[in-house]
Amino acid sequence: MLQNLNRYKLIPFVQYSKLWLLISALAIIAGVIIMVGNYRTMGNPLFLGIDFTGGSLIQLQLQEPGNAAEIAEIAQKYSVGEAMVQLRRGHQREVEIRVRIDTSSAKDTATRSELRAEKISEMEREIGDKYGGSENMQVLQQDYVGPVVGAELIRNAIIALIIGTIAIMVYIFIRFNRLVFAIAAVVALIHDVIIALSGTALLKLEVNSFFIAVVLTIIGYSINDTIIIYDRIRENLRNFPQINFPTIINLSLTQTLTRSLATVATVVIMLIALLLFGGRALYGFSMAMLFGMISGAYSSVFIAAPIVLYFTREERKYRLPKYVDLVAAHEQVATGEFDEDEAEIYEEKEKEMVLAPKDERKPGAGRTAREPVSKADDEEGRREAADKIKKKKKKLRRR
Amino acid sequence: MNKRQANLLLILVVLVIALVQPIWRMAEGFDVVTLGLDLKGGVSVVLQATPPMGQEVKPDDMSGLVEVIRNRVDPQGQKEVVITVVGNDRVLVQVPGEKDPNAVLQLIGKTALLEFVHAGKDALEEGASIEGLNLPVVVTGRDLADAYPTRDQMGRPAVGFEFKADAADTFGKFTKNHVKEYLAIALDGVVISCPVINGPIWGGRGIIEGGGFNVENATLLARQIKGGALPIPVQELESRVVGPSLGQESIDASVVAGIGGFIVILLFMILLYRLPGFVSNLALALYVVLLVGYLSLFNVTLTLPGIAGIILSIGMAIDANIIIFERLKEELAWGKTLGAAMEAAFARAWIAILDGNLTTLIAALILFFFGTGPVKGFAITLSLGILISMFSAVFVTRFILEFVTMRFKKLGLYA
Repeated sequence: MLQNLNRYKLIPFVQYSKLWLLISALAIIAGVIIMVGNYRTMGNPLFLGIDFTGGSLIQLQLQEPGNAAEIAEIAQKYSVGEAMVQLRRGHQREVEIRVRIDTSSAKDTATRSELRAEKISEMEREIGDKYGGSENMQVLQQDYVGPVVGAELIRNAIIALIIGTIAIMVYIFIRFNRLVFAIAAVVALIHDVIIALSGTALLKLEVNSFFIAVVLTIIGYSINDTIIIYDRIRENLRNFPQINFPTIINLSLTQTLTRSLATVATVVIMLIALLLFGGRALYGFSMAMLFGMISGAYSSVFIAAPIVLYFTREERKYRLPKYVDLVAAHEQVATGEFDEDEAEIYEEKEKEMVLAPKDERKPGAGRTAREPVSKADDEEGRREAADKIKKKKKKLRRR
Repeated sequence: MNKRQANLLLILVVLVIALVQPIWRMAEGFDVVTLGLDLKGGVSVVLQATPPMGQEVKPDDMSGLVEVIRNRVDPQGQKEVVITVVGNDRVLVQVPGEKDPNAVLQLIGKTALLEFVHAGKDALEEGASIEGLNLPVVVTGRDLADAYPTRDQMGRPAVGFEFKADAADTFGKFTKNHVKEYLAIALDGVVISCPVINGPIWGGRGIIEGGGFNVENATLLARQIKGGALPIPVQELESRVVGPSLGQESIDASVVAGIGGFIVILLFMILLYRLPGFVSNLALALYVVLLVGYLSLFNVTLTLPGIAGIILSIGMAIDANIIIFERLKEELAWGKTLGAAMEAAFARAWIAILDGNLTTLIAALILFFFGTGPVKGFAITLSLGILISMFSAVFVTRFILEFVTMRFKKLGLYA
C-alpha cells in the first residue's frame, strides 16, 4: 500500500525514547544479574568452553545408553579437577565428557601429549566396554586445548573488538561528518554485545573461540542497520531543512521501519531454520546470533537515534507533530519559502498544548542541513519566530 | 554493444568464472568446495616448538619439524596430510579421514630427537628404551648433514649418513676408541638400530646396516633420521578430532536448514514485494551459486561455522533488495512513473547499501586479521558474501527489473 504523503503519519519514536531506553536498561540489568548468578554457581559469568579454560572435550557414541554418574566416576580417575559428563538429551547413547587429563607423571612437555593420548584412549576404552563394548563405539569428537591458548584467544578477541569498534567509528565519522552519529552507533553496538552475552549466559551456551566471530558479525550487522537509518536522517535533513530535528528522526525511523522489520525477519528466518534443522554443533552459534540480531534491530531503531538526539543537547519544550505534509514541505523547499506549520500537522486535541518560543522550537529552521540543531539566536530570527508562534496559535484556535 | 548487452555480458562472465572451478572439481571427483576437518572428519593438531633455554627457534628448525612430522604421519605420502607452519614457532598438522585420533597424537607427540649413544659391550634390542640408562651421547641429529638409503657391501639395503665437519671429528675419535662395541641409534629415546662398530669411521660418513632392512624401511629410516636431524622439542598446544559421522551429520543438517530457510525467504519476499520480490529471489538464487562458486575458486576451506555463515548471509544478502524495494514503494507514492521511480530507488538506495555493507566488511576484515583457523575462514566467507551480495542484489536485480518493467507496467505488481 502506498503512504499518504499529504498526511504522513509519524510513529512517535522520539516521544517515548525514555521508555525504549528503560526497556534496554532492564534487559541489561537482567543480563548482569544472570551473569553474576553464573559467576556464583560456575565461577564464571559465561559457560566457557575448553578453548578458554583448557582441557579435553570428548564426545562418544556408545553401543548402549550410558549413565552420566557412572561415566563421570570413570572419567574422574583420569582427571585432575572435576570431570563433567553430559548425556545428549533424547540420545542417551551419546555422551560428552569434559576432563583435564592428569599428566603429572610425564617427565617433560614432549612426552606429556603422548601420555595424554594414551590415557584418553584408555578412558574411552573403559567407558566403551562398560556400555556394550568399545569395538564399535565411535569417537564423535575429541578436542584438547592447552592452557596457553585461552589467554591468547581472549587477548586477540579484545584487540579485535577494540580495533573493530574504532574502525567503525572512524568510518561513520567520515561518512556522516558528525561525532554524535558515531558515538550513538557505538553505544548501540555495545548494547547489542551485552544483550548477546546476556542471552548466552541465560541459556548457558558454551563460549568457544568462535564466539568472537559471532560477536563481530552481530556488530557488523547491527551497524549496517543503524547506518541505513542514519543515511535516511542525512537525506531528510538535506531535503527538509524546515522540519525540526526530532521530527526528522521520527520521519526517518517511520520511513525505514518496514525495512528494519523485513530485514531482521529474513535473518531471523535463517537463524530459526538453523536452530530447528542445523544440528547440535550450530545450536550455540545460532542462538547467540539470534539474541544479537534482534537486539541489533532494536537498538538501531530505539537506541541509536534517541542517543543522537540526546547528545545534541537540545532542550525540547514543544510538542512534536503527529503528521507531516511531505508534499507541502517539498514544495516549500522548491520555492524557497518555509512555513513549518504547513508542513507539520498537529492533532486537534493538542490545542491546549503549551508552545515554546519559536527560536527553541525550530532550531533547524531554514538552516543548512549541516547544522540543523544550532540555535537561532539572532534578534531577527527571534522576532520572526515570535510572529510565527502567534500565527500558529491563531491557526490552532481556528481548527 | 549497448549498455544492456554489456551488463548482460558482465553477469555471464561473473557466472561462468564461478562455475568453472566447481564443474572441474566435480568432474575430477573432488568435493565442490574444500571441506574442513570438522566436516569431513579427521585430526588437527597445533604444536608449539619449545626450544631449550637460551635458544631461539629458527625458520630452518620449523621446516625441519614439518619434515619430521610428515615422515611420521604420512611416510608414504598417501594421505592428504596438510602440515603448515603457523606464525614463528607453531606447526599445524591436519590429517583428514583419520579414524584413530590417539594413534596420530602419539605419533606426532614425539620430539623426533635422534641420538647416537654409546651402548657399551652389549647390543641393545631394537625398540628398547634408553631412558634412564644414562648412556653417553656421542652425537645427535643436530650434527647430521645428510642421511640417505644405500646398500652395504653385500648389496643389502642400508642407511647411509654424513656428519657435519666437527661432529665427524668427534665421531671418528669415538669409533676409533670403541671398536667392537655397540653404538645405539635412538629416536626419541627408543633404539631403532644398534650396530656394532667394525672400525673407526673417519670422514664423517657411515652406514647403518642389518636390522632386517629392506628398500622401503631403509628409505623410511633415512628420511626419519634426516627429518629428525633438527631436534627441537614440541608441545601439543591443541588438538581437535572430529569423527566422520559427526561431520556428515553437520553437513546434512545445515543443508536442510539452508534449503528450508531459503524457501521461507522466497515466499516472504513474494508476499511482501510481489513482482520485484520474485525478481530478488532469482538474484538470491544466483547469489548462492556465485558464493559457492567463488569459495571453490579461491579454494577457501569450508568449516562448519563457514557453512553457518553462508546460511546466515542468505538472510542478510536479501537486505539490499528490501532497501531498494521499500524505496521503490516510496518513489511510486510520490507519483513518479515506474521507470523514474526505479531509477531513483536504485540511485538512493545504493548509497545506504554501500555504507552499510562497507562497515560490515570492515568488521569482516578485522576478523580476518585477528582470527585464527576457522575464524579466518568464516571472515573470508563473510567478506565474499558481502561483495557478491552487492553484485547480485543491486546489479543483477536492477538488470532483471529493467527488463521486467518494460513488459509489465501494472503498478499493482510493484506496490
